[in-house]
Amino acid sequence: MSIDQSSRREFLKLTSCGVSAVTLSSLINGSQAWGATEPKLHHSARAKSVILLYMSGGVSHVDSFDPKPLLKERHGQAMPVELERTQFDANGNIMASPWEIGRYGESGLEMTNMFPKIAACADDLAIVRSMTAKFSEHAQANFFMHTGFPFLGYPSAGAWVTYGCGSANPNLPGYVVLQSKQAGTPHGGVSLFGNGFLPATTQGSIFKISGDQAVPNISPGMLKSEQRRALDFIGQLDRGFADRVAAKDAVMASVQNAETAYLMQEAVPELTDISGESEATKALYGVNSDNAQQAEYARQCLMARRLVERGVRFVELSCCNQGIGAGGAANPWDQHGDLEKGHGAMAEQVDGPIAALLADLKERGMLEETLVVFTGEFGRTPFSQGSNGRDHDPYGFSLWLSGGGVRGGQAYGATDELGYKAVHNIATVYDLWATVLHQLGIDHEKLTYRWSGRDMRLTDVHGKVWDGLVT
Amino acid sequence: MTIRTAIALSTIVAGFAGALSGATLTPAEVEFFEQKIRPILAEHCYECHNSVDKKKGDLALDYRDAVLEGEVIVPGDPDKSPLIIAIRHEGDDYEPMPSKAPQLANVIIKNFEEWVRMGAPDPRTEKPTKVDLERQVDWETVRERRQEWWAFQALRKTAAPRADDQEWDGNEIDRFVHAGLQAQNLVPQNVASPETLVRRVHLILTGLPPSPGVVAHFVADPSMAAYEGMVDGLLALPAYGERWARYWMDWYRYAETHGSEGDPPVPYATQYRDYLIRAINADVPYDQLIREHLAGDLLAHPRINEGLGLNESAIGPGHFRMVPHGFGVTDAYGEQVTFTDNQVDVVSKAMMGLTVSCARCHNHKFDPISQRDYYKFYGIMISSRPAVVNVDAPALQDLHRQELAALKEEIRKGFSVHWLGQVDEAIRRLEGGKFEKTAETDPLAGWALLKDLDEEGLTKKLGDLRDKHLATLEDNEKAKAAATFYADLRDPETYKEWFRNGNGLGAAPSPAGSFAISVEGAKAITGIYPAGVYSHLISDKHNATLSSAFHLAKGSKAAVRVIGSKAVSRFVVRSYALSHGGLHPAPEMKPTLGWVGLGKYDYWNGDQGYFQFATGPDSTNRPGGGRSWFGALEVYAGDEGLREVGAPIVSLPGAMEAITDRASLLEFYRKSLREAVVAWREGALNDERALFLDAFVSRGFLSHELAGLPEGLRAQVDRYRRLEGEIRIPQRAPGVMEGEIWDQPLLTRGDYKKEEEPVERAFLEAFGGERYSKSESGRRELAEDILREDNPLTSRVIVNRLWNHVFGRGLVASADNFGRLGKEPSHPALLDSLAIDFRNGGWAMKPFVKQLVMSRTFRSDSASPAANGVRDPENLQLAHFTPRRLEAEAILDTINAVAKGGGVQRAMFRPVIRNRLDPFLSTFNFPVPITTVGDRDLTNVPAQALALMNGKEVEQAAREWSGRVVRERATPEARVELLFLQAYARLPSPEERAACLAYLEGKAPDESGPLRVKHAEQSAELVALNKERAEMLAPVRATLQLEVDERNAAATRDRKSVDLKPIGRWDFTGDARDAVGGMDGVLHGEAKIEDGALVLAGGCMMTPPLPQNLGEKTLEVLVQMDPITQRAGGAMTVQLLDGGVFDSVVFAERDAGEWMAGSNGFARTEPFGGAREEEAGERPVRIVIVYHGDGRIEGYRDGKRYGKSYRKSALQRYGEGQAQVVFGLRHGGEPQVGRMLTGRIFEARLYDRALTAEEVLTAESGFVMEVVNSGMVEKALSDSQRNQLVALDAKIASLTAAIAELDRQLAARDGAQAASGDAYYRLAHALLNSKELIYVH
Repeated sequence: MSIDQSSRREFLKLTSCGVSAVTLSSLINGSQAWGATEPKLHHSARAKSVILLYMSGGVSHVDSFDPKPLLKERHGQAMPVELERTQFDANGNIMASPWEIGRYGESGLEMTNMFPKIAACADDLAIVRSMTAKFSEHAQANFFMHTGFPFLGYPSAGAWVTYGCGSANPNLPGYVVLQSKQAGTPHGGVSLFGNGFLPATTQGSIFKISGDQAVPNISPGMLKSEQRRALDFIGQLDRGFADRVAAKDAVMASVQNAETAYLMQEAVPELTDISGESEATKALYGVNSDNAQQAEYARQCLMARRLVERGVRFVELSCCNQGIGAGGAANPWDQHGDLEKGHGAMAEQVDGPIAALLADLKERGMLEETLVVFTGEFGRTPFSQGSNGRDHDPYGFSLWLSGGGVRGGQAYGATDELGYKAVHNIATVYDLWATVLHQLGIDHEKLTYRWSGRDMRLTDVHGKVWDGLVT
Repeated sequence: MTIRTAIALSTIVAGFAGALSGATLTPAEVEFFEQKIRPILAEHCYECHNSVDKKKGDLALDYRDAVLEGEVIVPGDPDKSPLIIAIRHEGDDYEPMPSKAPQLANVIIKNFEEWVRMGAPDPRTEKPTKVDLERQVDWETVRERRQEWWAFQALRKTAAPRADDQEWDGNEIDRFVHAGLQAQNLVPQNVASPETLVRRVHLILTGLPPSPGVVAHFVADPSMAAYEGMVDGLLALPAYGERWARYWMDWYRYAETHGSEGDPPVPYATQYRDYLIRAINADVPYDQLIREHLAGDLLAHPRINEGLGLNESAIGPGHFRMVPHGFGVTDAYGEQVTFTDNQVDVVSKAMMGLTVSCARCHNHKFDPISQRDYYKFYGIMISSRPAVVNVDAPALQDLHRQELAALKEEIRKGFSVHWLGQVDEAIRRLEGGKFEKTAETDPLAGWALLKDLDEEGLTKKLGDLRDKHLATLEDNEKAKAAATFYADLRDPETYKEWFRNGNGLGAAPSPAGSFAISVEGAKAITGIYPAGVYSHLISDKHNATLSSAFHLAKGSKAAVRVIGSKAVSRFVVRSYALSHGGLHPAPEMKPTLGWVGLGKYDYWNGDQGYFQFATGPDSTNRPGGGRSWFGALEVYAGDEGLREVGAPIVSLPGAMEAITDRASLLEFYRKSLREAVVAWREGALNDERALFLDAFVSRGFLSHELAGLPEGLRAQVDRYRRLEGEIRIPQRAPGVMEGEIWDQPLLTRGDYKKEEEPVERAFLEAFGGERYSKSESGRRELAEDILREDNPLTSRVIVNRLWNHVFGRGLVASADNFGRLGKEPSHPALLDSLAIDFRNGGWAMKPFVKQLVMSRTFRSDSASPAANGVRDPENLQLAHFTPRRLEAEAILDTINAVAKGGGVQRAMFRPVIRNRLDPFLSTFNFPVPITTVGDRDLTNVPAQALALMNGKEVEQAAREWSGRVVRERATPEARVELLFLQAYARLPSPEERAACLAYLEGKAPDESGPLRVKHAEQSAELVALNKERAEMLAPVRATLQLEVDERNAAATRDRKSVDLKPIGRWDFTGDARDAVGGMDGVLHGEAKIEDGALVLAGGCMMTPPLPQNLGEKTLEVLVQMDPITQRAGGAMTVQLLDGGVFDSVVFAERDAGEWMAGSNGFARTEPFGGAREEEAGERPVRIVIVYHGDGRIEGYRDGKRYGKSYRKSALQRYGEGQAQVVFGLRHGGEPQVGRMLTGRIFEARLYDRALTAEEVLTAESGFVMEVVNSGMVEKALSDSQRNQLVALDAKIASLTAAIAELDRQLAARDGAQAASGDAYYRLAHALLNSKELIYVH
């Protein structure tokens, strides 16, 4: 019996209620630990893993990847078009960007100098300048970006990817979210990384890499040798139970599951221990930087590479809070005020580490099969909020992709001359995920799951692959 | 890929006798095609395969020639026809058709085969047009066909077949099941053992395991009578409702917050949870609960809980409010679509197993539900509005109402008499009054403005006031005429158009002169009011929500004329219940009447909304609060705004004529006041006079201080207060209130920017029925339609749900979906029979559940009978009881129940916070509360194993449980037995018993041996290196020391000594003596006194036992380190003599370079978070740690606060003679590498109190001594010596790091060893990890 995508949920349910022995072997042998099965791809894959650099709070596109000379020219003038409703309803006039516009790389891709080190990788970046989101509020926009729906309860992209591709490492989850001391969960809560209706094995596992326990309950509460003895004893009781009731397969699967958990207890600490990395590598990322937030983010970037190396499919990184503007732990990029200072500090935090990640992946030949995505939940308005901030702008913003079969050194789509709204090749969250899935060898229209009377998709009933950006 | 595939069909049989060739068709053939084939093609195939606009795979199926051309039919041979192969889902060459839809019913496939066998007669000779196609897939036809699905068929009673086995011939369930088994040649399993049964029925009915006593009782008498008694007992337990209410909470996606940013609460959400528990325990009939869920607030005869004083029915609609909400949404219509969709989704799925919300954008893809059906539901939902509902029983809501109203009239009379006698006094008070900042509209402003003017001036000013007053009136009239919205709530006709909720609002507005009694404080009257709507005229515990019809916002401003306390006004856009985020303001009212602007109204221009007033605790956006009230008079929206008219003196009759000078002014006030009091008594006040009178009352010019009231009046007020005091703050619940009847426009493709004609509210087309009335939302009618006798879904759905929760799988496996994508029933006749009996039996759930657990089917053992082999692997026929893992709550409850032996708070009471769902429960498939969940997933993931293996919940339970069992039983055998009885409701088998005893006695191998050996080796090496280093530097140091000594001697001559009265003081000047308390030190290992310092390099110093008790304390030590890279050494320690308990000044144990207050197992240790130590290698630093009596611990470095103080646990006290002071060793009885400090200690003091910051600073400034530092030494070294030192230091550093790591590993081992607990803890922990515990079988 092969496990058909569409009936996988039922399969899991049946197994846990106890069915045939045939299913058991595929459960145990199929590195089922975190829901892994051999991927059944729709076409050959360009990428094996995805790294999502999530810029929670909303990066100002007009100050970074979608520079607009006109802002300087018209600084202080009223916006020439009628404005959509904004979250803070404190709309000011057009505000010039404090950053300088330049051309980077051989491709001469236009950006500002907000992220100088990332800009130096221009030839590896494909910028999408016509992104749109449907929501002006953080939590809904976060959910929308992650799941294609504005509320909790739907599977995150990472869960879909894990569902589609499985995990290549039986001891690690397929979808990992990295957090650290000062980097937490965006508005909306941990359901942003949820599996929704997909099997629980696909849900994002949060690794807190600066605490005692990267994963809840990962540290054994007793001596390892004592735990081994306990597992053997429990296994003995369980086998007796399995023989007495008609749930042998499910019980034994769950015995096996405990063994997997036992192994994970070692795999996870090994993963988060970076002492084996060379000093040069650590210095490249900046894990010992004097800038504490940068050092934390650098660790996340390095950890992302280690996770991808170990077969994790989808890694999401979280920014550290700098507490500037309206930015808080959940939305550090949210500079409704003090944009220059806030975005400046945030950019410094992530610029070096991200550039190092790209360089390191490239150096190791991993960039080709790792798709890196840089995005926030929306952009920021070209006009000011108060004297020196910008409000949320979901009508047009930028993201970029790199690696994983992406053709670098190009931009796709455009906003209007002031950067307010996307006007050319309008791009959506659905397109983003359609493209990501495509690079992973998955047809986004075929990756479905029947739930609540519908065949659900990450891209709902939308989405088109950005053909021009990828090979 | 579509039906047409790569493989070419070369073998079309040309000229086959059938109709593909175009031969004339017989009437029978035409009929067959028209009835059986064309409708199917039209519904399932044309969309993708037509010759007009979509020809997927280059195939059209919409007329004969296209079919021919497509080469998908081999006339006469179904098995070779690609069309047939594709619809049968056979073979790899053809994609299963229709794609993305369930397989066609078998009967349809047979018809197609028959049709091909007939030669595929096809009368469709013409290529169709677009219009033709549309007509062919006409919705009515499609819907009728879809209604043929089993779930829409009427309920049919079939006589249960008799079973030849008497055991199975009892109830209807067993007979049907037995017949099913026989039909498949399966044998039924024997009855389960009493032990198995007693546990099973406890877990299923209550979610808790049985106690050993109960098990023993049933095992002793496992008769059917005893079993029935046990079942009845369980059904009567509160625990039954607690378990089964949780299922309802799954069905109705219970949550206590809305999710999204800020995760705001659903106020009073737990009221709904508790209502479910009570209802289920009281066995309220299901139809009643459906009525209550949809329209409990509208029932003519609500269900009253006398004991709690609750209107239970009114709590039912609480689930409507458990929708997710966005935060401060900017797109209010989009938000409304989303949350209304959620309501439609949950109601249709939970009650009828239908996915109505799938028809939001288009007609349902698979079920007979049209898009119009969806918008009918939408209209019903949106015709009600989110609200907080007073759920007190009517008697409580009206408690003392009549009496208080009557009493008020007495009080009114009393006060009028009292005040008439006070008029002159009141005018005297007016004369003496101060009137700063009084608005001209205030009745008393006239006095203030006019009293000091001469006659001429007065007349002029009076004229001005009148002109202004008239101008205001005129301007207001103009503004009203141009308003986009104006409501005068004083007008009964207007008020009638508004929607009200709560016991504080009457049927009509209140007249001028209405007043409220103040129920606390020195004054008797809260206010005398102009005409308006007031919520508090009897009591401000009464609640009120008042809202307008929908209004399309237009204009720059909106404002309300209100007065109130802790109450709010809002413009509610698209029924959005929250006010977070600044775009949905809800300004709080003030206790003075006036216009209050509703901000952001202009922002919402173009959107529908309504104006709303609510007492504070009744606002939907925040919970809590006690007394609150409001008065609402007018509402305005437009571009101009209205001004407060008030009651200036000129608005009173005769003012212009009467007032000429100060005397006549005063007289006019006197006359007017007397008239006002009289008019008030007669109930004949107008608004101006009411304001006039209130001006005197509110300022106390007319006194209403309780103390000064005539006795009779005082008694009346007191009585009023007493009666009012007996009214309780109402119990509230989330709910809805009736609003404007709203037939929702159909939205093209679900897009709210594309509104079409409104769809009138009614029930689903599939069931027909009248349009709903125009006078109420339709919730009441919907409830009746859902319960209609000709609607077979509702009763089937509920009996299936109950069956599912008993047997772990419904007769219909898809409990929430009875549509085409759901499953067909395994026992259709049984399902119908149960549904009919359930309905006819009065929808009673407890007897139904009892019937299930009494059945022979339920009582079967949970092993599969060997004779059945691998047939029926999913046990659809129920040959045995299907074992299954417990739900999350039952797992946790079971763990806690065995741990505590009962009486634990159950998991179902844990808060359901959308953004922070309970981690343990979530790990075990607690559903995300977003939609109906009738059968939870039961997945198997490592996180579950980790939670059980390493989680705190299990660890704690194992500790309690093992402790209890050890106390209660004396021998290992008896303890094992008790553990088994409590965990599994059975005794251990001999093998298990032996295994447990062996496990108790066994020991885990100690793998730390090699580590310890390595540790000892490296430690010895380090000692040697340190010695070598010290010896090498000794001569250089000695020379330098002489110089330093001289300088120090000079410096100390002028020193003022400060005595902070330590109990121990060590200066190390030549010896280790304590200068105060006789705690002279003894040197151990490589420790010595040299140059006025205790030199530590592999040694330590210890004192004899302390001669006194030590509680609060301060440790002060002046220390220099060498090298500074060292880790985990203690400078100064107070410890119990064996070193097991200690408090110590420790360097760099947890984090490099950081000082901390070390203690045993970090019991009193947290990082101070002080700066990284950079200097203590170069010079001594003074570290002071202060231990306060409340457990607070502070650190100081060089007199300055080091990091932050903290409190982790209680102060450690040391008894007289039981503790000692140790220097250079963190703790222990002898020098031990990894705990030792290397360096010098120059001074140390011990205090038996907590030093203040000033004292610490004093201690610091007391001594400043120069010492030989490493810089000086280094400078004095020759080059070769320096190189030697560098090499040595590098070795020492790496060795130190290695030892620290070994130490860390050993400490972790020791910690883990300690956590592994005793043998019984480990056994209990193992049993809690066993699968049998978390299974019901």
